[in-house]
Amino acid sequence: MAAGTIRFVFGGAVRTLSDIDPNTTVLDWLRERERKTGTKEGCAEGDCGACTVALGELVDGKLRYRAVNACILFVPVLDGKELVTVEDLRGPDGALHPVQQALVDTHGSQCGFCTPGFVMSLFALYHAQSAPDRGAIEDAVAGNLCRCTGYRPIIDAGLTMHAYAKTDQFDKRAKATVKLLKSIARETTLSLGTAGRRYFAPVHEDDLAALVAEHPKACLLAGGTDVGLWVTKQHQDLDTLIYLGGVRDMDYVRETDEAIEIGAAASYTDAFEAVGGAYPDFAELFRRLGSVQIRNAGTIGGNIANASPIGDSPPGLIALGATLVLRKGARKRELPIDEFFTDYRKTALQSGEYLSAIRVPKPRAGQHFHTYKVSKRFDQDISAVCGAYCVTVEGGKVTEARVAYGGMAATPKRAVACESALEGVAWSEGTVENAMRALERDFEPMSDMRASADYRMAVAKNLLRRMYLETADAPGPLHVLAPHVLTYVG
Amino acid sequence: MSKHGKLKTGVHQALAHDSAAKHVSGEALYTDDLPEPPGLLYAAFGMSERPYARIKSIDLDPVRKAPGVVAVITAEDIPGDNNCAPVMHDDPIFADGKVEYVGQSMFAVAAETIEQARRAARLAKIEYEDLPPILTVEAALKAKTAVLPPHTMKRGEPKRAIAKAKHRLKGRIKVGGQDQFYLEGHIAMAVPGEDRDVTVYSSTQNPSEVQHLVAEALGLSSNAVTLEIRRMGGAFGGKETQPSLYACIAALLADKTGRPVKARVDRDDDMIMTGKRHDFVIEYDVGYDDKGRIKGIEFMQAARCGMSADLSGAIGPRRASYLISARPTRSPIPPSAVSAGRREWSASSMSSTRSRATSAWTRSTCGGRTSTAGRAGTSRPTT
Repeated sequence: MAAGTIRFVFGGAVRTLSDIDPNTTVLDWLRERERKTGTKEGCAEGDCGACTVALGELVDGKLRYRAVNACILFVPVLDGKELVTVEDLRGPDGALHPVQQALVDTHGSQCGFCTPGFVMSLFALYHAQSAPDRGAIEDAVAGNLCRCTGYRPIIDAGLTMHAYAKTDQFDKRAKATVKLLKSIARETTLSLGTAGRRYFAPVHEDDLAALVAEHPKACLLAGGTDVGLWVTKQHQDLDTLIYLGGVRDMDYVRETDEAIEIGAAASYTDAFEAVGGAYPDFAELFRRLGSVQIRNAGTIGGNIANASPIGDSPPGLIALGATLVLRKGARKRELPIDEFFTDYRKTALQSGEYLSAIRVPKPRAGQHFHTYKVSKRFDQDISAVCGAYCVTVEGGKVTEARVAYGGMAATPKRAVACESALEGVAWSEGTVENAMRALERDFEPMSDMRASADYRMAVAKNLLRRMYLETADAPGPLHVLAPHVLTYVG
Repeated sequence: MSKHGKLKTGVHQALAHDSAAKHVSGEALYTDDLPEPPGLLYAAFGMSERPYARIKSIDLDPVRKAPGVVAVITAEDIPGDNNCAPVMHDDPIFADGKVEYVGQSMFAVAAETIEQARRAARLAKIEYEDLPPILTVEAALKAKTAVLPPHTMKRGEPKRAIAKAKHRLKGRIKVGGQDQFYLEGHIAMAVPGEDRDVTVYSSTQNPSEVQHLVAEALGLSSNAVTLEIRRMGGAFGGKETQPSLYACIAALLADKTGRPVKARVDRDDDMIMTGKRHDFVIEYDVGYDDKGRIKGIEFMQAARCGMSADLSGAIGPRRASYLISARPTRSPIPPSAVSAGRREWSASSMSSTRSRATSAWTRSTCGGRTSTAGRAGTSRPTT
């Protein structure tokens, strides 16, 4: 077994690790092995943001910092990147970083336990935008929970952080960091075999295809925003991990004449502009999907392949008639996404096959697309119901309707009775009311801690009505989000 | 300016939190951040899976045999009191014979790593004989089961004032409970000394109480226990009495093994094991005039206190005192009392709302002129 070495930039130098269980999280490594305890554990499931760190990566030769949750990030994923924690921010002279000083001056900490996470989320924003507005700051910290009622001063810190002298050492030493990152860039697969566990991080898709064929039972790891919890909460042993995030020829978002193609290694954040640009409702949905930290790590490919009944991207992709490119060895096939989900957490993937790319058709004339998420909290919550509607209207009549829901069945599912109640008839209130009733034939939702069955059915119907009202003369605004929705994604 | 120069502290000075620089740089030390002593063991907890049940049998052999496990303790291993409740002495450290809520601790494991401890704790084989639980305030009132006797506060002659008033309204309100949601979960680290002395680092709002309970659990006098707490990552009432469970477990395991022990709870387990802020059912009967001015009002409040009293004896009367000093509004319905009640939610009110709900109820009434505006607030306790 290959005894590879993880290489990443940490504290201004290249750090190498060759003896680490690949299931170790960055948070545990920092706190237990490095005894760097500034990064906190609040929930160990990527929800509270107390463990936020920043990852530096080379993108088109330039350094880019993004916030992620260390509690569900496995250490080998650091390979080839720069890790920045709250302890690294002080300048060489010991002076606080502008983000830190701003938080002190605006009284942005009380018990202080969430503070390092907020510092790191604002640090990533500091590097991403030179004049963030209030909306961008709110988006940037939507994945950080503070319990001592401190959001106003924290947002004030975000508004004032750029007014301080530009003492950020990461900008100052960017050239050197770029050099270090180039020196550890990988051309071949990283293979680790420690603690009885294997970890592979291929760089090329051909190598990935061979690895998946060779290890058909391996766990494919993309963002790890769900897989991380299998370790931290369920105490599973993930004996063989194959990481997709380093596969360069799968990390793309590109447009053809007919479609937006998303490589399965591309993060939500990367796919946001193209998909959200074509379909504004997807932009709003993505803004409410997880948090900045989750979207920076998580992928649409993972959201699909994970086959959760409450994944937020599948309903919209089903409604739009997206297709999936599946690959096994050298063989590729294309499958409509609604045929992919076969049962609760079961997919059409064969042994040794994996999801390579997602093709999202571009908008067509006469087409109305909307997708809505209903959850208990506005930010960073899991859907009770997610509905998606793609209705084509020509000459007042519905020529094509595709309707799909999450949270209503064991899989993300099309509502075929609802669709046939819509098709071929006038796009009118009466039609929509018929289609709303038809949903009762499509679904028998369950009651759980997120919602009761009756609530889910009522919401599913009303979301369809809302969709209709948005295409007709809406009596008023039907969206919660202000226009700032696109200000800061990650 | 005084002859001593400009004031550096006090009013009109924007003073930073004295730990602000340490907070923002990650240098502030919370209990889990303290340097770990050599030989440290990590604790995990065996938790009840049933709301109310007799424990028919408990097989801990698989736990003892699990990798890395050094010690497993149950109620039988406690040298002193099996209790971690400061007020009524009604919260066992480990369930003994029966469990009274989902998440109640039944045993604890100490292992070489936290992962080993948590994995081992899941291996216990327990047989339960389920008993019928009482889960809601309504059911508890019906069954006339209470953790504490009722408490009544009265000012003036409310019944007469209500009867004489031109208008009258009766109703019922339910107010939900909530988790305190401190960002730093419960944690304690116990370091054994000589003569069975122990130093306990505990994330607690009430160090003295935790010290006393640890000493009682060990069967020692209080001076054998030193309690340290530098800072907490939030508490919100959730760390007033409840840290003693984790401090006692850490100390008992340290006492048993002679090694330092850290008891840190996973967020999910923390939420399942610990008591929450009470939910209440409030019945009201109010008399008022044409202008909506309240002439007299009577409340009955019932709280879901859980399987033990914990701090319910303080919370009930406190809620009642809020209502009796409520500021009446000009509205013809009585939300003034509700908003006063809600104000109290922002203060620390805590108790174990565990699954075998029982009720402690409080009655607050006020009538006549004492309920008018102007007198309000003066008797409201500070929070």
